[in-house]
Amino acid sequence: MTDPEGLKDLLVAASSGDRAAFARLYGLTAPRLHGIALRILRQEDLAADALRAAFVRLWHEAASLAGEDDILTLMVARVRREALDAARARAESGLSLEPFEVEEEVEDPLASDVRSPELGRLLSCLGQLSEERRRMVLHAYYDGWSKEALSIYCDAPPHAVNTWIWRSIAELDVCLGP
Amino acid sequence: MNAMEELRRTAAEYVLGTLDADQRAAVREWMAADPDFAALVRLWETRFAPLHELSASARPPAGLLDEILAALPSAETVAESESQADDAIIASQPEPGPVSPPEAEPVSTPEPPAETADGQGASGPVPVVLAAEEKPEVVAAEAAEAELEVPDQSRPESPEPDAEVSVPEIPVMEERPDTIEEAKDTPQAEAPAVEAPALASEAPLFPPAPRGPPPEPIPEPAEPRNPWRVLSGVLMLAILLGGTALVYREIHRPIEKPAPPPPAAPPPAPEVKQSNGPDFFAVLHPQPMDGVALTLDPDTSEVAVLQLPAAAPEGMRYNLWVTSEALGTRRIAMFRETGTIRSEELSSIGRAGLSDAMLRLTLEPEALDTSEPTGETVFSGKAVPQ
Repeated sequence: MTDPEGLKDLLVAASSGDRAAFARLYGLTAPRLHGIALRILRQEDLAADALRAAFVRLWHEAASLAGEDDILTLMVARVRREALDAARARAESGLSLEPFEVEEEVEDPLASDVRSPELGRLLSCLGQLSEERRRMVLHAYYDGWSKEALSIYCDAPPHAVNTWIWRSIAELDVCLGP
Repeated sequence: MNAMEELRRTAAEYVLGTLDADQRAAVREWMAADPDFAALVRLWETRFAPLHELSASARPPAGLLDEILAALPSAETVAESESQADDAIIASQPEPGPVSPPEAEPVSTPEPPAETADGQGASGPVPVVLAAEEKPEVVAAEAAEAELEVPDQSRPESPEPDAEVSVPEIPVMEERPDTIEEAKDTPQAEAPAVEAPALASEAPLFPPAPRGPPPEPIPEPAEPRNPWRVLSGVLMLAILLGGTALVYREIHRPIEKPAPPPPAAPPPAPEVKQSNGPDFFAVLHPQPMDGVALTLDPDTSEVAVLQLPAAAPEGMRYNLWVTSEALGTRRIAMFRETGTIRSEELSSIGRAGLSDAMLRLTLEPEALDTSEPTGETVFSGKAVPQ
C-alpha cells in the first residue's frame, strides 16, 4: 500500500505527542472519513461524533499503531466502527433507504484518479457474486444497513438475508484468498 | 460447520456491519480476549478497506478539529492518560462480565478433543434443505449494475469480452470518481419491486450457508493454535450466528406447553456417535429481561453461559432446567453469572435428551437445593443442535 500523503509519518509524529502532525493527519483524512460516517449515519451531528471518537481513540492508540503500514485502512476501520456502533445503538429509527447525497462538494486531499490494485482485486471478487448479493454487501458496507434494512430492501425474510450474506462472505473469502 | 470458517465469517460480518449491537459488543469482547480472532477482523478490515476509494467525501463540521484537540490529554500527562483511556474503553463495553474468554477461564475441564482443535473434525449437521442456487433473473436494473462497474460473471450475455473477472483491468478504474459516485447513488429506487417475487421464492429455509470450497488454512496467526481457543470460538459463534436465526423461529413459540403424549419412539439423534459433534445452542425466550445465550456440550459436560442480562440477585442463583417427555424435569446447572459450569447431569441427559427438550431458567434461593423448580420461570427456550 502506497502512502503518498505520508500518513504514516504523521501518525508516528503524533504518537510522540506532536499535535500539529495529528492536526495535519486530520486535515488530510477528515473529508473522506466524514463522508464514510455520514453515509452510514445520515446525520451531521452523529457523523461528527463518530469522527471525533475515532480520532481521539486514534490519538491514544497512536503509539501502538505506529508500526503499521496502512494507516488509512486503520482509520477507515475505526471510523466505520464508531459509526456502525452509533447506527446500531439507535436501531431502526435510523433506517434510511434513501440514496446518499453530499450537499456540498468538498476538496478531498486523498482524491486520486488512480485506483489501487487492492480495490481492483476486491471489485473483481465482488463481481463474481450475483448482482443481488453484491448490492447487499455494498449497501451493508457503505450504508451500514442492518440485516433488517437489507431484508426490507430485498423484500426477503431475514434468514434469507442471513444466508446470502454468509454465502457472499464465503465466496469473497475464497476469491480474495489468504 | 467448520469452526475456523465460522470464525472467519463472523469476523467478516463484523467488519461488513451486519451484526446487531449486542453481537458487535460480543465480538469486541472476543477480540480483546483472542488475538487470533482480532487478527481475522483485521484481515477483513484490510480486505474491505479499498472500497473507501469510491466513497463520497463530505465536509466535516468547522470546529471539529478543535474539539478533538481539546479532548486530547495535555502533553505532560500523555502517559498517564493513555492508561486511563484504556480503562475507559474497557469500562465502556456493555458487558464486562466474562463471556468465557479463553485465558481468563479458571475451569479445570479436560482439553477438548484434538480433532476439534484443528477445526477439521467439528462437523455440524448438514442442512438437508438447501436453497436453490441463486440466479439473478433481473437484468432490467441495469442502472443498479452501475453501482459499481464490476465484471459480472453471472450475466453470461454480457457482450464485453474484457469483462473477464480474472483480468484486473476493470472498467471502474478508468472512470472519473464523480461518475462513479453518481452511479452509485442511483440504484436504490428501482430495484426491490421488480425483484421481490424472485427473491422471496428462492428464499432458503435454513440459515447455515452451504459450504463452498474446502476451508483454507487461516493465514494470519503463525503461533500454534490453542485448542481451547478454537472450541471457545465455536461456542461464541453460537451466539452470533445461531442467535439471530433461532430467535426468529423461536420467538413466537409458546413458552410452556403441556407435554404431548409421548411418541412411540424418540427419533434417533444422528450425531450421537461423534464425540466431537456439535454443541447445543439455546436462546431462551426473553421474559422480563433481555435474552440469555448459552451453549450445552454433553461431551465435555459443560454449560457455558455466554450472555445474561443480569447476575442473580444477592442470595439467589439461576437454576437451569430441562423438561421433556422422556426425562421429566431435571436440573442441569446452577449459576449466578456468566461463565462455564461443569454439569454431570448434562452428560447423563446426553444429546438425545436435549434435542427436543424445553429449557428454562428459574431464580431460586441459594440456600435451597431443590429438585424441582420453585421459582417463577424467568427465561425459557429450546435447545437446538448447532
